[in-house]
Amino acid sequence: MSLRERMHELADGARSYADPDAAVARARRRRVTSTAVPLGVAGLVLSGLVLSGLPWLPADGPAEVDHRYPAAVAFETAPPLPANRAVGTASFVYGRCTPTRSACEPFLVLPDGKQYALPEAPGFGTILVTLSPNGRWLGWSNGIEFYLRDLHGQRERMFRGKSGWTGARWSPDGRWLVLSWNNMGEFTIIDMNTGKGTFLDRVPGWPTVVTNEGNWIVWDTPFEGGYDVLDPRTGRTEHHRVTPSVGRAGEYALPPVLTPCSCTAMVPLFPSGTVDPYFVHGPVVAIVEVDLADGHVITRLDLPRDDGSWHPKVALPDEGILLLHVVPDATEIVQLNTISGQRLVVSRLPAGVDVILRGAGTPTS
Amino acid sequence: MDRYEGFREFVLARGPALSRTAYLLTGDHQLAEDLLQQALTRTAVHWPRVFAGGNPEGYVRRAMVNERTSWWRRRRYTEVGAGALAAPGAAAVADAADSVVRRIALARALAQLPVRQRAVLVLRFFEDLTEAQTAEVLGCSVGTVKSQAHDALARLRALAPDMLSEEATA
Repeated sequence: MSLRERMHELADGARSYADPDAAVARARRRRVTSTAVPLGVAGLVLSGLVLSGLPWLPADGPAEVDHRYPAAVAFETAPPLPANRAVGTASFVYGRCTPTRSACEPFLVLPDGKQYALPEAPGFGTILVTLSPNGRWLGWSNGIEFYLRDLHGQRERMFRGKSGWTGARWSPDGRWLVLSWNNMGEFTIIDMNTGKGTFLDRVPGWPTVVTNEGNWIVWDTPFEGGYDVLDPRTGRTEHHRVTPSVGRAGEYALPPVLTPCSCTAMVPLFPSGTVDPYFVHGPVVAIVEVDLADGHVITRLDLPRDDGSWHPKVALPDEGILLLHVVPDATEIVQLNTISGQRLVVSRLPAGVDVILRGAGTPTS
Repeated sequence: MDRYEGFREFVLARGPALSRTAYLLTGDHQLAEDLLQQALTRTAVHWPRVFAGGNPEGYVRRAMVNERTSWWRRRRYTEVGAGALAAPGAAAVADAADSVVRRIALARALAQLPVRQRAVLVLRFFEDLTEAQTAEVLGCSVGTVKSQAHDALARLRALAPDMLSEEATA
């Protein structure tokens, strides 16, 4: 049998890998992000075609109210979260902090502006509370156990590790919730589809973000141009490089947020040398979108310089990237469309608060 | 006019053949799918120009070879040998065992070759491209194709002397 015949025999084992629709969808996206955005030709990218290919982005148009958020939140007396009845989907959680931020009282906020006081959530200058991406599940801890409450009902689950709870991470689709415990390498992975929690120890990494597949992306810290994709169940790790460099000379990349498909990541950048990258996140000057399949930088969006600071938190379906914009007299929740650059302030809170958005992990883990 | 007009028809018509090439270049179903889809995406991005060039299949083939070389340079993917091969299909009958043994032997041997040498063999002995056409796809000289093919065959013979006789390359 000739080599040619052997080659054809081997090729008989091939399947059909070609998907023209997927290729076109991806090509459309690359064309839009690689040409329209750098040129600032926002009008070119506002077609329904483009938006239909990026369903996680908010539609453009005149600034409107987003009914998932109350337009404004003021400090007011709030009843405790009722234990015996549903309260409905949450919009976000915020903390009223002392001037020194040594303590913050957490409050759950509904889309209509109604507020509920939450159980005390110990933290240093922040609140260790988390909300699922769909706003249905509320998580908090007393420092030892972690509690998960269904806001559409009364169900409450408790999870415990071998040491104290330290943080939580959601996958963008809300299927996976990863709890980290104080002991190195100990985690509980909760499959929200089944409610089953799996305790793991000796996991060789820590999740910067969790993908929809349940893998962890472990970002270089300090960033040296790459990241690992870790399967926590097997410990298998693949290292990926981001090429070209995500930032410009003198810029530093912060850990990213995942887009809802978990196929791209939004990487915030800030000028290096201005802050300690290990402890202070900001001031963020730009966001770049990285294709996690090949490390390709898709687009870059510079944030406006003003008297406030920008803090990218999470990307949600139909909402784009959600950022906190901290200005001297307020804290704003802002939706950012990275294709058009349009920003929409969806809620305005008093200055000095700490805000936990849906799908965002706890700030420390 | 839709800039992707004709792309879908092209992929539906030539997808199976391109899938076979992708599989030979990688030896793994998942990698083959990734490779072909990346190449098709590149092709779709430049579809009007590619279509006007009159040889979209050649463009995809070249994109796959280049992408495969790029993967190797980045060392992103773990090279996969015969272990990832699919089991024989339902059509496998009396000589199925022999066929499987041959496929595994060839897959293992190909997995031992450098990426460019493997590509040369696939293009020359599977795609039946001439040396000049292979050189065009690989972006190198005909002399390089000749030397790469020579080295690849010599290595195959060393790896699997029973599988590859002098006449077997005919």
